[in-house]
Parts: sequence; structure tokens; C-alpha cells
Amino acid sequence: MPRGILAGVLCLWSMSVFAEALTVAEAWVAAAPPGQTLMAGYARFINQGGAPLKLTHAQSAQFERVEWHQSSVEAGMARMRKVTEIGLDAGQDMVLEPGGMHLMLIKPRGVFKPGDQILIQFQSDASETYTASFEVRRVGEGSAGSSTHDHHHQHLNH
Amino acid sequence: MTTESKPKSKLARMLPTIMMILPMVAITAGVSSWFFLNEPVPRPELSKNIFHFPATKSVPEFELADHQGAVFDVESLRGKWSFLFFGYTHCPDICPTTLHSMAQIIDRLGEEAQKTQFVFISVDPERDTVQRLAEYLPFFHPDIVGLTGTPAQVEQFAKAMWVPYMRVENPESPADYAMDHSASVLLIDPHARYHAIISPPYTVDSLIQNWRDMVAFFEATH
Repeated sequence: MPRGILAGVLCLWSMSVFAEALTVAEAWVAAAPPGQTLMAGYARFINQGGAPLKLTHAQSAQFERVEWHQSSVEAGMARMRKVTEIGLDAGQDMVLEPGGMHLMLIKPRGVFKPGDQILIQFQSDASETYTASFEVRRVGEGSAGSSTHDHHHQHLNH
Repeated sequence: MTTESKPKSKLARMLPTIMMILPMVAITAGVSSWFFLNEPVPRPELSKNIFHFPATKSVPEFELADHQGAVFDVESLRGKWSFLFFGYTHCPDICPTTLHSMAQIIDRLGEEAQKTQFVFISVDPERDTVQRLAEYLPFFHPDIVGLTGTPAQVEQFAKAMWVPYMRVENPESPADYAMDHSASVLLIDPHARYHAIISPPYTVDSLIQNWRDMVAFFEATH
């Protein structure tokens, strides 16, 4: 029993360290056409801590699976590849946006409309967790608090 | 002293008349050559990522089905400027972004959009049936046409458009394979002939401007 409490305390402590270091902002999921089994999530991941962070796992109760994927255009070919983990250096601010790195949300459990919230839990290599809320939005409506977002990212280089 | 004025030569006497007529002749010659020598229309200055075909070549015969289930063949390309782009519905990031941009272009063109058709060709006919496309495309814009067919029909058409695509297996979940595909947009003229290949990156604004310049060139040369 005391060991359980200790483990619990340690777990809470490590969670708070992770939660203090990591900020997930401007998080949104692109609204998808009916019948779509794959959706994409975007956000800014900021490591405000003094040490590097590694995100190794993502999951959501609202989807069967959540993965990291990297889109790119190489020699005129549009490609998409799975990425197993995301590393964030101390102070790093990583933006996930259409045409690049994104969260691939696989097999939705339900239908999501603009305005709905999707909770995604991230896990670090030290098994710490962080949960962020993503708002469902139409592509082109941009991220939270940045109405000019779409304007800056009209480039279709993907 | 008396100066005897020499009688002027015939040419000298005619000189003022010649001086008056000569520029008129020159102007007439210049203007008529401008009209009649059929000077070539300068080709438009386009973005560097656009290949503007130097000669006309017809799109070969092909047959696909549109998302309403109707036949879409080379005749369907006549009478409009066709923007052809390739993708697949199991593509959550790039394809929706491209479709959103095409929808923006259609809306921005307004009345001019009647001269065009925007055509999404699936490179994944195994998963993208007519029904799937009918469900998928109107979400982005009601005027985007979706095409699919048998794997052989799609392959033949993509080859004719120099559009490579490749299946990328997903060992963990075989049904969730991905497709690498060309990100280029093919522009076909209203006579069903190749007009340009637009490679990424491009913007909504640059695509509209370049298209308008190509239309002006086309109309001046046809």
C-alpha cells in the first residue's frame, strides 16, 4: 500500500513536470466529409521546459488510433509517412499544419462536426501524459486566435 | 555683284514633296505590316513552376466514370478549361487541403468559373468507388467533378497525363495503405489538348493569374 501511494505521488509529480513543460496550443482537427475514416489534427507543440521532451504515443477515446504522420512533396510527388515519435528540444515551438507534420486520427467513433471537441492524450518516453483538446473546424478557418492563419498558408507546397 | 541663281535640278525641286510623302509611306508600311505580317503573339510570362506546352497535342482517348456514375471521356474535356488533379480519399492532410484550394479558386473565379471544370481523379480506385466520391467531394465544393474507374482505366489515364502514383503498404494495418501521387495540376484547353503542367508550390492567387494569362494567349492565337 505505501508503495502504491508512493508510485501515485511520483506519477502525479512527473505528470505535473511534463504538463508544465509541454503546451499544446491552437489545436484543431479538420472537419471531414461524411464517411471519412481518417482525419487530421494540427497544433503548436511548445516545450517550455529546460530539457528535451519526446512524445512517443498519442491516443483518443474518440478514435481507434492516433498516429503522427509527415506529409511532403518531393520531386513533385505528394507523400505521407508515419513518424514514430516527436522530439521537442528545450524551448522548441513546433507547428503542425496542413501539408506537413500532422496527427492522423484513424477510425472515428462517431461523427464530428465543426465546434466539437476531441481530446487527445499524449505520452512521453517517460510515460508521462498530457491531454489536449482539439476543436473540429473546416479547413481554411484557421487556428484559434489567428484569423490570418489561412492567408499565410495558402501555399500548396505539399 | 549680281548672283545668278542657278536653275534648280528637277530632284531638288521635288525634294520638299518627297520629304512630305516619305514619312507617310513609312507610316503606312509600318501600320500595314503590323496588321498583315501576322506577328507572333508573345507567350505569357508565367510562374517558373508552370510548363506551358510549346505545341498543341490532343489528349488521347480514355474512359472513366464521374462521381455521378456518368461516362467521362475525352469529349468531356471539350468546351471548357479543365484543371485535373490527382489524389485519394484516404488522404487526410494533403488532398483535403488541395480540394479546399480548388474550391477557393472556383469561388474566386465567380462567373469566369463557367469556362472551367475542376476534376479530381482518384489514384486509389479500389477504395474510391463512384459512391465514395459522391459522398466525399460535395463537402469541398458542389462543382468539383470526381473521377474513378477500373485500376487499368485509371492507370492508362494517369500515364497519358504523365502522373506517377504508387501504393505504399502499411504492414501494421494492410487495409490502410497510402498512395504517393503527383502533386501537379494538368491544364487542358477547351479543344481537349494539353496546355500546361502546374507543379507545386502554387497559390490560389498565382494559379488564377497564370490561368488568365494563358487564356489571353490562347484567345489571341486561336
